[in-house]
Amino acid sequence: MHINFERSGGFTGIPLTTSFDTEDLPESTANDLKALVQKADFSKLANNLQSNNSAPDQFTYTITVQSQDSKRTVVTNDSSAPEELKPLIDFLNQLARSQRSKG
Amino acid sequence: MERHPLYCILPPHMLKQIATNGTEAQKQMAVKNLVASSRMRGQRQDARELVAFSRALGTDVKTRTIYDAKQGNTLPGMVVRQEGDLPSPDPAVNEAYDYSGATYDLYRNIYSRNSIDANGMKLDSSVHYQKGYDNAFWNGQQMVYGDGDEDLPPAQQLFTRFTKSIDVVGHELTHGVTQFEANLTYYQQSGALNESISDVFGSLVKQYQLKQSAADADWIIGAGLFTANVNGKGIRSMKEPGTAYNDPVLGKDPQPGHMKDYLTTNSDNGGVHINSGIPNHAFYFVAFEIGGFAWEKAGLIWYLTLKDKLKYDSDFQSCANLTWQVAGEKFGAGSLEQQAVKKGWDAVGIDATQGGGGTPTPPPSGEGCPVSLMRKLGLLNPSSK
Repeated sequence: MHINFERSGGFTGIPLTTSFDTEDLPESTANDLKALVQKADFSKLANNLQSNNSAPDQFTYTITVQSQDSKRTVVTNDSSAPEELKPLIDFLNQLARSQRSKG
Repeated sequence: MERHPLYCILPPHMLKQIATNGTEAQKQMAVKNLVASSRMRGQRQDARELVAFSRALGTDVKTRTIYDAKQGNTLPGMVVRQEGDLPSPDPAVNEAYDYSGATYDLYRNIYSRNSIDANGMKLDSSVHYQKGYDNAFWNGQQMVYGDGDEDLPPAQQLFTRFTKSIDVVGHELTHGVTQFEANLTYYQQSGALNESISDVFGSLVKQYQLKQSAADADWIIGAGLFTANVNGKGIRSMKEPGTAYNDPVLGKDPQPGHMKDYLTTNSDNGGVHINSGIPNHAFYFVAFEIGGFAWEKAGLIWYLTLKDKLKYDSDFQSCANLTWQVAGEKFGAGSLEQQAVKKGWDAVGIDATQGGGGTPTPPPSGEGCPVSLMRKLGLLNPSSK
């Protein structure tokens, strides 16, 4: 499974991105991540999950999950993300932030 | 807090009489002193009752509530400090409280505006939002602050808590003011103006608190947000856009300070945090050119433009025209202030006198539906094309 994560906007406007194959992650991390993708029912989410009311300085998240037979991109932000998707966003955010800091 | 010597010696029951029956100025002073003296005595309940009392009288009074989201994403969270309460042991709570108070004071004392909605709106803030949330935002009703990189090992932390910088708090509250006034669409140039106005008044809150002149102020937005691991003074520089940080991990501050470097992008709602450098620098230039305290004249021109002139779809050119027009109305045609406004916009490559007083640009075409109608129907999504 290939995952691409982009975070844009926010007060700082400094983007945060990560892109990886779950095969390249430690096995337990990869399994946790696959479980979160499944729990979010990612393949059935609408592509555009942004709120109509603009909330200044919120992050916008663009997540693409690609597996052998499917590829889906979902765009959402802090206040409009569905509850079942939030744990996946948190996980990817954390992963991307710690990768960034390690350079 | 300012204390009027006469009212200090009056007993609370007399102050309440004055608050009920006095002139508007007397009411203000009486309520201020009632709240201040009950705070000094540490009588929380008294202070809360007084806030409710003065609100019921229709007197301007700031009403702050700080919530703790306890690292979750449910808003607002648990109440941890209300108006008149003594300080908390938690610095994030006190920063949100003090700095939202300082923002209220700038708007109330300088621009005669009673809170975000000009009608005494309560100031709600949530701190400790999520884990590792390096951000702050205005969600349409309240301010929300994260703790930065508190969840990472110290050597990897880039951001500290977002309440630490007073101008960040002023910035978020000003998004609320903009929402109630011009309601600038958060996309492309109108979005960058929305951002710039938040930076302008965020910086003015800081300058007003420090009593700094335009020449003495640092004009840095978000000073203190970076940890020592980052090479940077802050997030943005209004004085020299593009120079706030230059770091091996975070890269270089991408803000332009001139129209020739305007960045066209789909990211960040069309670069709202990037191109805001252009109107930011124009404001800095105007304030510096006029001299003295920036909130007095340059800030007033910008505030009146936001309140009375800008529209949801105003762009940089129309903002330049309108600030120039307001400066002429307020200080006289050809006045030094109006000349300063022209010079400020000239410095970023925009002729404020072109366009005859600033006709807002028509709504973007090709949407199949006017933006104003889409907005009414709740269909407008600022990030969609």
